[in-house]
Amino acid sequence: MDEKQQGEVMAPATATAPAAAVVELLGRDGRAIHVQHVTHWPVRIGRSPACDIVLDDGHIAGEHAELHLAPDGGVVLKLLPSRNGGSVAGKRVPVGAEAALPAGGAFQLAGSTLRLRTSADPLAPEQLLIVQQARHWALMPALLLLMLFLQWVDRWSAVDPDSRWIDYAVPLLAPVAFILGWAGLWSLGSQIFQHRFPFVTHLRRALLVICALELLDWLLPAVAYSLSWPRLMVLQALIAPVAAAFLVAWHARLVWPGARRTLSVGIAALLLLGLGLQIGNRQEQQYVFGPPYLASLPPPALRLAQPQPPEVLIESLKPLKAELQRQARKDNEGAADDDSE
Amino acid sequence: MKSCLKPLFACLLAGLACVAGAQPAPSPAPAPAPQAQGQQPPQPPTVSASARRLYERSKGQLLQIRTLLKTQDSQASVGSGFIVSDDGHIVTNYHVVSQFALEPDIYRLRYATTDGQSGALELLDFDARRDLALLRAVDDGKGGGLKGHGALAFRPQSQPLAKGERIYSMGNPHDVAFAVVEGNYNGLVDRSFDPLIYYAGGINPGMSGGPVLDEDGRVVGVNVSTLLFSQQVSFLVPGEFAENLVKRSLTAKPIRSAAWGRLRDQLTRYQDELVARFLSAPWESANHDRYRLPVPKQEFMRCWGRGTSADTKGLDFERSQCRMDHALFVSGNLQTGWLDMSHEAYDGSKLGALRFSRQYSGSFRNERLGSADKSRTAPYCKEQFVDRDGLPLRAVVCLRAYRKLEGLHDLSVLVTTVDSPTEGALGRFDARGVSFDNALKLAAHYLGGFAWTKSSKAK
Repeated sequence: MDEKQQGEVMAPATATAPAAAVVELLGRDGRAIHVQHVTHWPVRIGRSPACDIVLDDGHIAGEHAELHLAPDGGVVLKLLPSRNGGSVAGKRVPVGAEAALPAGGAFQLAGSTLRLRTSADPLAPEQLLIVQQARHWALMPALLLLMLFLQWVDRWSAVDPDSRWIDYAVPLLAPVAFILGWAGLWSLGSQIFQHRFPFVTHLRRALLVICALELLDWLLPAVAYSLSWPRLMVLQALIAPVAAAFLVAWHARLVWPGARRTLSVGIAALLLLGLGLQIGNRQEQQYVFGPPYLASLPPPALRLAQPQPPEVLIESLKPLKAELQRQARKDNEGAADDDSE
Repeated sequence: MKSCLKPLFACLLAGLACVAGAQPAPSPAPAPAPQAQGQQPPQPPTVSASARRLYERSKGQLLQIRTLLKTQDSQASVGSGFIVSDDGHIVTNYHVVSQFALEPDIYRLRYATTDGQSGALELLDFDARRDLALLRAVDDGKGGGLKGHGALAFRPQSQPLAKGERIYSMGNPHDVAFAVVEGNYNGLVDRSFDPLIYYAGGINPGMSGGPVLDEDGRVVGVNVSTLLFSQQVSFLVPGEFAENLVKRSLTAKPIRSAAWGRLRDQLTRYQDELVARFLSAPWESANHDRYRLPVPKQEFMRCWGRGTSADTKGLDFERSQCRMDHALFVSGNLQTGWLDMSHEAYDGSKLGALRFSRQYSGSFRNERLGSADKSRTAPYCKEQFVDRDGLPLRAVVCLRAYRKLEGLHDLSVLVTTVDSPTEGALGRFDARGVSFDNALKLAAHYLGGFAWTKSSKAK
């Protein structure tokens, strides 16, 4: 009875009601988990079955709030007596008071986030579904096999010919277990934020980066040796952190596609920070990146550079004298000289 | 066996670490000695009698040298010393006073006599090469300064000792108490660049700088070091060097500021002599079929070798290392002035090219070149393929500069042969504390030691 009277009271003031409206209960990720059509105005919200919008939440009163059409065409939230109250746009609304809903129609009752959408609100355009390109079925097994092969070569060349098969088990299986776990964790991330489990995509990305790194690990020292370009090893020292940062960014793009730019900037900043720390740490060294000398000795057939007479090497050392002197004096300030001189 | 019980007993009495446990005929602690004289007449004390006599005679000239912090009385290190002039000149080791010599703003030197007197010391000169220093007691005008305490005389060089002669080392081991230690003169150490007396007797930390006397109480040497993990293998600086230092610097002005310049000059002169002597001898070739690998001929280097067992299924290798066993002490964290070289010859015919390459690279990568520290810079290197009479090598030459000893460097040369897919040799040469020019000469000399052997060249 009460409701009808109120409705009647409000009715004359009512501007034209929207053709259709829904009240949505939002989940933590901002998606609607429960949608109810508004059949008549005003709309009463509460836990009681008598309400128009029924919420299954112990923190909500039997009749918690009402939505009214305002004379100017907007919608107003009016709070009925309750223990937990509610808020609009972050501002608490006192019991019995009214507050106009902002654009987007979001409001909060106790712990529940709700949203009113009407046919008068502009509708966001339809988004294109991200469909992962279909790859050849053989790509994944091929990548896995390549990784296993590279691991096997790495292990095989490091052990003596009399080693047993069991010596290969851990070096071969551990990386596989690791990469499956890695892809699984990223997929869980996707599951939480995107509600899908793109395990194969994550796995493929990780495998691609790891295989490329391992191939470069063989290739770069061989080229550096072949042409006697020891400083090429700088690349190797830089590639590992850059590839790691790239891989993380690549995974993260699947998990949070909306935050692409933020992620890229954040990861790039972390990478630069890491490299900067390394530069700061190695100021005393001859080279900031890379090993002090090229230690790889591939089979002699790979050598293209011509050996020089020893005098050339000795001659090339001479500029080091001044450089070392400068380096030696760096921390030498304040060292008093002997008084006997 | 017969001497086992006595030192044990002595240790129990002292209740301290058994620092003199290895002595064949231990003398009791100095203080109770005179009483013991009367209590044990039946013992045939022919040997220890002369130790007692010598100690009684020279205890007036025997000192403990203590390095103390300027601001407090706790000791930073202790050594021993002895008076060599009526004016209170004292000889000890350079390493006993190095903290004061290099950081006189933080440390000070004091002596303590056997009868408990003490006083301040000043540093007149040192000889880092021989590890000797000359000090003088400061005359404080109150009867201190050790004037009139008598002086120990040096045994003339015209009367050399014979192997086996009994000599007596004195000092204050581990700050326990003044002690006299009997031992034997055993000639000079073989394969030592500078003469060093091999003394068969126990020397312990704290005795450094103490005198070693002959039966007539004349100084024949100065306690300096001992071989670790060995029994009764100790070393003495021959007395003549101490005598020369005393003569040279008796009237020198005291050193009051950090003596890095003086130390650098001494080390520079030393390395010039060392490198000239090293370069004057040609290389010997290691006994390898394929490569001529450099092995030093010099008598001041000692070589050791080892190899893999014959039934190995992996990489076969033979290793040879030659080094100078004696280094010059600069400070507690820096020793210098020595050469060290080694090579490893690998045969990977059981491995195949890829496996050999991997293991050969791993061995090459393992070489440690050191990193920047308080006394030296980080290594700066140059590397190249080098042609040695047709034998291709990969060579890396690295240098580190000393921060406070300007002009001195550590040199490391790494050389690998790169002619065969399953065979190779990896050589390393290290020189500590050499001038830049000498480092280049040594590097060139070392590279020159690699070549084909005659037989492999003929093929």
